[in-house]
Amino acid sequence: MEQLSYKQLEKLLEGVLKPGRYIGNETGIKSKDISTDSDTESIVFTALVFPDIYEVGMSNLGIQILYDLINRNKNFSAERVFSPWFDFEDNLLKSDLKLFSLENRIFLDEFDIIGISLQHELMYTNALNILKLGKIKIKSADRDETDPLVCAGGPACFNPLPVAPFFDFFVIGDGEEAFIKVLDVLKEKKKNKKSKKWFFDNIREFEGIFIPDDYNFFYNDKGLLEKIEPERKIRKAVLKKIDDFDIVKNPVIANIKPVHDRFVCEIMRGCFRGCRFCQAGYIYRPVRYRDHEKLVSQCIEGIEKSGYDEISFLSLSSADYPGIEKLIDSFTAETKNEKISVSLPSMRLDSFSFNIARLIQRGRKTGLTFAPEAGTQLMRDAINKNIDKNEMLECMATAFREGWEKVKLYFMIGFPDETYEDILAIPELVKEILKMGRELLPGRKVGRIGINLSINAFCPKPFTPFQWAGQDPIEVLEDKFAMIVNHLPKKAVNVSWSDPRKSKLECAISKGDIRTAEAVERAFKKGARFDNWSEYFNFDVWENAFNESGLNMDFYTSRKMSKEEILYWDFIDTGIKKDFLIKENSKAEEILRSRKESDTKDL
Amino acid sequence: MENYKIRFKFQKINEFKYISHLETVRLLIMAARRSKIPIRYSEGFNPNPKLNFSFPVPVGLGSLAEYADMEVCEKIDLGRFVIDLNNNLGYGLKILDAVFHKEKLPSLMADISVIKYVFRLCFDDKSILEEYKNEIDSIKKEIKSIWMYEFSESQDDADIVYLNIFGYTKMLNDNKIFKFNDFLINLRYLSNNKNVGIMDFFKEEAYVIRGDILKTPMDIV
Repeated sequence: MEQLSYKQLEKLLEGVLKPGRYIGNETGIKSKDISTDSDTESIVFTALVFPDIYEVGMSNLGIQILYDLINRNKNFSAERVFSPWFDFEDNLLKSDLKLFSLENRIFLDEFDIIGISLQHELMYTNALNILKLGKIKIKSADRDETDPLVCAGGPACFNPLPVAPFFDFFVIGDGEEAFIKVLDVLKEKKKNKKSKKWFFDNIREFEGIFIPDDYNFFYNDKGLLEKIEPERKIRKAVLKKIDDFDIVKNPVIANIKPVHDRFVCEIMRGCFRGCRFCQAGYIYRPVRYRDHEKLVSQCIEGIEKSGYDEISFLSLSSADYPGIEKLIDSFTAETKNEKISVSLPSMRLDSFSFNIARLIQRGRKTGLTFAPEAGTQLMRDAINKNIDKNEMLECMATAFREGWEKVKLYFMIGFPDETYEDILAIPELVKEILKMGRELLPGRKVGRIGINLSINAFCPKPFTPFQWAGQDPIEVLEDKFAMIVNHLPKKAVNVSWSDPRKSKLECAISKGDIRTAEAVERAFKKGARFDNWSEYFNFDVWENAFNESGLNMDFYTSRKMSKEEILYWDFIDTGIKKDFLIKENSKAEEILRSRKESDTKDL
Repeated sequence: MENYKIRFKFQKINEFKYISHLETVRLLIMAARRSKIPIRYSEGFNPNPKLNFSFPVPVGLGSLAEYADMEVCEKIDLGRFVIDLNNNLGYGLKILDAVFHKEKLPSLMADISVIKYVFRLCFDDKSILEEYKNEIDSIKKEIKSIWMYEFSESQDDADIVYLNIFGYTKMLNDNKIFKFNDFLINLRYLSNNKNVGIMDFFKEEAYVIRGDILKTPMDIV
C-alpha cells in the first residue's frame, strides 16, 4: 500500500497553521500496524472520513464508535481521515500529493472502502472535496473496479438523494451491526477477487443499505415526483440491543484540543419527546436506554483509560434517562477522589432537571440553558415542545434566588402559521425573566445578570410531522428577527441568530431530491466548502448552482408540499408510518386553528 | 498535606514537534491521569494541576531537552513515574529523567538562560566553510541578541558539519531575547545562497547559569 513518508509530511506541514491536526500518533490508536502486519491482502482497510477539521471530527462519537468496533476485528482495519484546512490543502495540491489517513498515512485511493460520516447537509461539499483530494472521482458512475468503494452514513443521509450520485451505497440508520455486515461481505470480495456487482448483490438485502443505482425516480410535467421504482422500501438499520455494544472505553485522544474535550458516554439513543420540528427525535427512534450498572462500570473504566477529567452523559434529552440522578450519584460516588466534572448536553430544563443541574455544577453557577423554542404557549403546544411557562419561570426564580446570573434561551422563528403574536412574545418573555432576575438576585449580583438569546430559523426536515411545511422566505425571517431585536431591552441581553440564508440552503438540500445532487456538484465545483463555517459560506455560489441546474431553491424551501404528493424520501422507511406524521401534523394545525377561530370571535 | 516536587526532562521529537506548548501540557496531564500519578491541584472552583514548564519550544522545532516541575501529593517511585508516563505517551513525547527536589528552586521559566540548538549541515564543497562562517558572523550583526556558535565535524560522514548555536534567552541592555525562528530564516537564506543543505535541526539542551558555568536544570537539583 502506498503511504506518505515522514519527510513528505514535514514538507507538507511547512507554514501550516495547527500542524498537530495532521500528525496522527495519538493515544488510543487501534488500526493495524502495516509495517509489522505485512499481509495487507487479507485485511479489509476502511477509511473513516469525517468531512470537517480534526478538532470537530475528533469530537464526533459516531466515528469513535465505528473506529473502535472495526478495529476490534482482526480482519479489518480502520483509519481516520478529516478535512484538511485551506493551508494544508494548498500544500497538498502544490506538491501534487494525495490526501492520506492519519494512522499509517495511507493514500486515500489505496483503501478498500471509504466510509464518510454525514452529520448535516452543509458538510456535503467537504465530503466531495475529500474524494477529490484523494484523487478519487466524485461520481460513482465514473469509478471502476480498481477504485475504492465509497459509502456514506449518518443523520444527514436519511434523505440520501441530494448526494446519491456520489456514493456507491448508503448505510441508513445505526451503523454498529450494519457496517460490520458490509465489511464481512467486502472481506469475501477481496479474498475471492469478486466484482463490485457481486458485492452489491450480496449486501442489497441488508437492513439500511440503499444502493442508488437500484432506484429510478419519475417526474410529471409539473416537476412533481410521480413514481419511485422499485416499490421496495429501504428499512433503516436498528440496533435492537444497545447494551450488546459497550460504550467506547478507550477513545482516540486528540493530539490537539477538540471542540468537545471530554469523555463521552451515550446513555440512551433516541428521544420520546416528539418535538414536531426535530428530525433527530424521529430518525433515532426507538428509544433505547443503556443499563445503569453497566454504564457506571464502563464509564469508570473509560475515565481511567482516557485520562479525562470531565464526562458527558450524552443523548438527545439526557434528563429523560430513567434514574439519571442515580446514575450521576453512583458515578460521582465512585470517582469522588478524581475531581471529575459531569456535563449533560441537550437538557430540557424543568424543575426536575434543574436539580440535576445543581447537582453537577457543584457550587459553580455558570449558567442555565432553556430551550422554549417558541414564544407563546399555543405555539409551544403546536410544536409539541411541552415546556410550561410557569414551571420554567419558577425554575428560573429558584435559580436567581440561589445566585445564578446567566440564562441562555433558545428560540426558533418561522414555524408554520406563526403570527406576530408568537414573535413578540419572545422579547416579552425575555423582559419578564430579566425583571424577575433583578428582583430575586442577591444584591451585589444584580448588575451581573445576563441573558443570552439564540434565535434560529425553522427548517422543515424530512421524516418529521412538519416535513410538508414551507420555510419562511429570507426577508420574512429577517423582519421577524428585527422585530424581536427592536423590542428587546438594550441592557443585559445578548442576542445571536443564525444566518437565514444558511438555513435556506440547509432546507433546500435536506428536502432535496435526485435533481438537487447536480446543484451540490456545481456548488462544489464553484468552490463551495466549509459551508457551515459562516466565514466561508457563500450563498450566491449556491443560488447560481441551483439556477444553472435548472432548479429554483424556493421550490424546495418555501413551497408547502401536499399530503398527497409522493415525497422524495418516501422510499426510506424509518419505522415511523407516514400516517402517524400526518396525524401529528394535523394536531399542530388543529391547535393553531383554535387561535384563528377565537381571533375571529373577538372581532 | 505533604508536598513533593518532581523535576523531569522530556523530549518532544518527530511528529510531536508539531504540537504546541499548550497541547503538550494537555497531553502530559492526561497521560499523568492515566498513569494514576497523584498530581497536586490548586484550590478553588477550577482546580489546575501544579505543573510548570520551561520556556515553550517553537512549533516545528524538535527538542531533546524540555523541562517541567510537577507537584505530587505522595512520595512516589520515580522509576515507576517515568515508565508509567512513557507507557501512556506517544513515542515522540518521552520522559528522559526525573528527580525529587526539596529546596526552593527558581522557576524554570526564570532560571533557564541559554539554549543550545544543533544544525546538521551538508556541504557539497567543504572549501566554502570559511566563507560560510563569515556569513554567519554577518548575521550576528543583524540579530540584536546574544548568541555564540561553534562548528564540529561529523565522525561518520565527511560532508556533514554540525553547527551548534547557544542562544541567550534573556534581555540584556539593548539586546533582545534570542529568537530561534528569526535565526532560522537568516540561516536558510544564506545556506541557500551557498548551496549548503540544512538536513536537520533540533534543540539539544537548556542551561541555567551558576557562577560562570552552564548547568542543566537537572544538575542543580
